[in-house]
Formats: sequence, structure tokens, C-alpha cells
Amino acid sequence: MRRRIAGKAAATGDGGVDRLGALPDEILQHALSFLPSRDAVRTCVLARRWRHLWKSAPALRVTDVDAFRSARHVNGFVNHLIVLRDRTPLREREIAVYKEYDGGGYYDSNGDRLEHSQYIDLWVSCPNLETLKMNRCSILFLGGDRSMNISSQSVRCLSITRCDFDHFVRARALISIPTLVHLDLELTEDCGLVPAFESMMPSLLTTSIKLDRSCNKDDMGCSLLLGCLSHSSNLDLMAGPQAFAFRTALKRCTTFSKLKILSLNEWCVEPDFGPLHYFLRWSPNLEKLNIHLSKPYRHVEETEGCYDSAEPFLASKQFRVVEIKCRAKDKLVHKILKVLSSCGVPAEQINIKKIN
Amino acid sequence: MATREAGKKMIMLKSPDGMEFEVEEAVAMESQTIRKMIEDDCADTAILIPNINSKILSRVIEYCNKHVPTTGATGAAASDTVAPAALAEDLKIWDAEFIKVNRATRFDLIQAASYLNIKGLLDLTSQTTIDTISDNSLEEIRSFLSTKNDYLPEEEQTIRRENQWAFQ
Repeated sequence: MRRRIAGKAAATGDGGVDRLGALPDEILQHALSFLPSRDAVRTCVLARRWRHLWKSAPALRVTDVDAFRSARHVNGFVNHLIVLRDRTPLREREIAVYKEYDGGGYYDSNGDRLEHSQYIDLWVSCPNLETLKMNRCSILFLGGDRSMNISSQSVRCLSITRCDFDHFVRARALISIPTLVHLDLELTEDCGLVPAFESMMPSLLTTSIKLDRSCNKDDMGCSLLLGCLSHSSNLDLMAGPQAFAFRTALKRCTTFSKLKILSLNEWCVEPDFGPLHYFLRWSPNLEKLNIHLSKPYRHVEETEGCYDSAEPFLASKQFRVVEIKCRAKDKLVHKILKVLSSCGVPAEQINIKKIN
Repeated sequence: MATREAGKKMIMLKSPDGMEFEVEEAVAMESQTIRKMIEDDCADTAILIPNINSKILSRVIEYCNKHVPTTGATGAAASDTVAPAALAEDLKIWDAEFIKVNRATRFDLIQAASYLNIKGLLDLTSQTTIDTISDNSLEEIRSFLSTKNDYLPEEEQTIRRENQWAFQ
């Protein structure tokens, strides 16, 4: 276990009775599944009872990678873990990759070769996997057909943050998880092409998408992505300024019929408040709209705030509240208010919060 | 046993210290153990819940009351207009308050969740316990769990060597 700063020492036991020890093994294994895997393995030295418990923890979490000495240590750890744990099916898996990746090469600061791709075969043989989280992973296209599929019939929660979908190859990864309920996708610079979601995801509830401005180059990918999210009831869509990426998607008029809570940032005002209009118009059951304006918007003077809509329309009848977070004296707010009022959103439903 | 109140089927739960709790069947069925008893028709009179005292049982019922799905025939309280996501967020806040209990109570709750097979409560209690111990040293964890180190010193060394890959 990591040494903790002295001071807040845990209180002594309850009269020496081993309270947790009275629980059945599977409950202790369940509890272990919440620990990062390395800490879970280290419980083997607690007492005899704990010696093998970690082997059956139904989760694999390699999240504290920066606490390892080098990429080689992470790889060594993961390899041991995979070989030595028993065959208890995994429910959850979280993987992050060591930070010392120098961009172009495959060596970390100690000169050790990084073995990026070896965890990929972990996909298979997990029929009960419910949660899959990958942070800063490189997802490589292997094999002659250069295809990369992530598919599952059981995963409910998928989080892919700051990963690289093999940006040298310029091929599109395919994600096929019809059971998905929660999706968290954060794409950063040089992430490669935006992955495509193959099937409809009728159970999708919450979706959080963060796109870097470099995703603008992948118009088709972004459009496909947006089209797949139409079942979401809670959608966070954050993109870099001038997110041209969704323009094609916004011409399609997909209805977001289940959407109740929507959060957008600056990208929703360009061009001419088009994206904002789009969601107000095609989300007939929207209840809450959050707009985060954290960066100053350069073209505020040029933007009219009177979107040239072919036909006027009214926003969702279910509307309860609009929350706008903005910097002091943001001229954009006034224009957004104009847009909202033109779609019949009453002023008393709009809260404006100032941020620093 | 099933009394009726406002059209809802009620179940009587009894703790070993003699307290009785009347709860909606749907709430009681948050526990897979009780669900099985009801489905197997083993719940003709009151259901005695062994090993769980009234103080803990009432907290468990409080948890189940909060987490019982609000849709369908039994739900009525929650408004249909609340988005599931918003509801989940509220539940998280509620859970965080609910689990602010002392260690002994939390272990009791783990035991109860384990016996009654209530996955959400088991996750919540386990996660909270793990969060408390994950930053502590081995000795502190042993003390926290009231676990006695029953290894011989050389035995512990062997096990450490065996699993060296996790200690470096």
C-alpha cells in the first residue's frame, strides 16, 4: 500500500473482532474490485485469508500508472496480473497508459520499449464486462485489413479519454456496443479519426462528448457520431471553437426525441447560432439547456443573433430552465437571449451565472 | 400477511430484536434474497431477517425506499418529467449523505447488503470502505479491518517475493 501522510491514522478495530473477515469471500473480492489492481494484489500480505483473494476480484483497474517507476513496470505488472489471476469473469476494466510516451517513438524515458498493443487481446473472453474505461491508451490497428473493432454485447459504460486511434494509419475504428447506457468520449489533438459507432444504442442515457478542434478535419466522423446519439436523454456536447465538424450532421435534421438535458459550449453559436437553433428545434422534449461560455468569442460583433430560419418554430413545451454560465460582460449572452426568446423560451426560465 | 394500503401490496419484515417494519413489496424486492422468498411463496406471514438488528434494517429499508424504480405500477412519487440522468445525480448526492455513518454501522450495512443481496447498497458500502483504506499503510489497514496478521515473518517475506511484481 502507498504510505500515507501520518496524522489521520485509522481508528483501532472494534474490540479486536475481525468484522470484514466475517464476510464471505465473494463479498471481499467484490470490495477488492473497487481498488486499483496493484493495491488489490498487495492485500495478499494482510493475513492468510487475504493471500489469494485478489485473484478473483472481478475488475481490472490499471489506473494509477503514473505511480509506477516506468512503462516497463506497468507492462510487467499487467502481464503478471493477467497470467496469475484466476478465470473469474471481469465486470469492469480500466486501463490507462504510462505518461512517458514521447509522441514519435516507442521508448519511455528509461529507454524501455513500450509495449502498447499487448493489452488489446484483453477485449476477448469477457462476456460479462459492464464497464470499460481507457485513458491515454494507444489503440492500434493490427493485421492486414487494418481494421479495429471494439465490440461487446454486455458493456453498459464506456469511457475513452485522451486515446490515440492510431493517427498514423488514418483508418476508422468501429465500436459496436448496442447495450451501451453511458458513453464518455474525449478526443484530443492527433487522436486519429473519430471512431464510428456501428449500431443504434437504444438504451443510451448519458453521453458526454468532448472534441478538440483538430476533430474539425474529420467532418464525416463527427457527423456519424452525432447521428448515433439521438437516443440520449442527457447529452454534453463540448467542442473547440468553430466546430465545423458537425455542420454536415446539422443538415440531416435528426430528431433528438428523448433528449431532456443538453449542455453545449461556445461552438453552438457559429455560424449564426445554427447549432443552438438546431437543438432547440429538433429536441421536442428538452427540459434543461446548459450553455457554458468560458472563452471570449472573437466574432461576437459579426454574429447577428437572428438566424435565418426558413420557418419559425417554438422550442420544446417541456422546457423548464436554461442555465448560461459566462464571463462578466459577455456580449454573446445578449444575443443568445434573443435567439431563445425568438423560439418562445420565457425570460423567467433563464438563469445567468457569472464565472471568473 | 399481505395487507393492502392504497392499492399497494405490503410486506412485513421482522428484525431479531422484535421490531416489525411494514414495507411495500416492491421496496422489499430490491433485496434479491427477499425477492426469491416472495417468488417462491415462502413469505406467507412476516419475514424474519436474521442477524440484522432493527437499527440497521431500518436504514436498509430507507435505502431501498429511495432506490426502488419509480416507473411502472408501483411508482407514483417521482414525477415523470424528471430525466433519468437528473434522478441518478440526485441519488448520488443522497447516497453520499446516506453513507456518512461510523465504521461499525458501515460494516453492519455491508453485512446486511451481502445477506439481503442488494447490489447497489453493497457497491456503495464496499466502495466507501475501500476509499477509506486505499491510502493507508498495511498496518493501518489491518487495524481498520481489525484483521490480525497471522503470517509468520518469513512467510510474509515469501509472499512478498512471490508477488514482487506488485510491490515494485
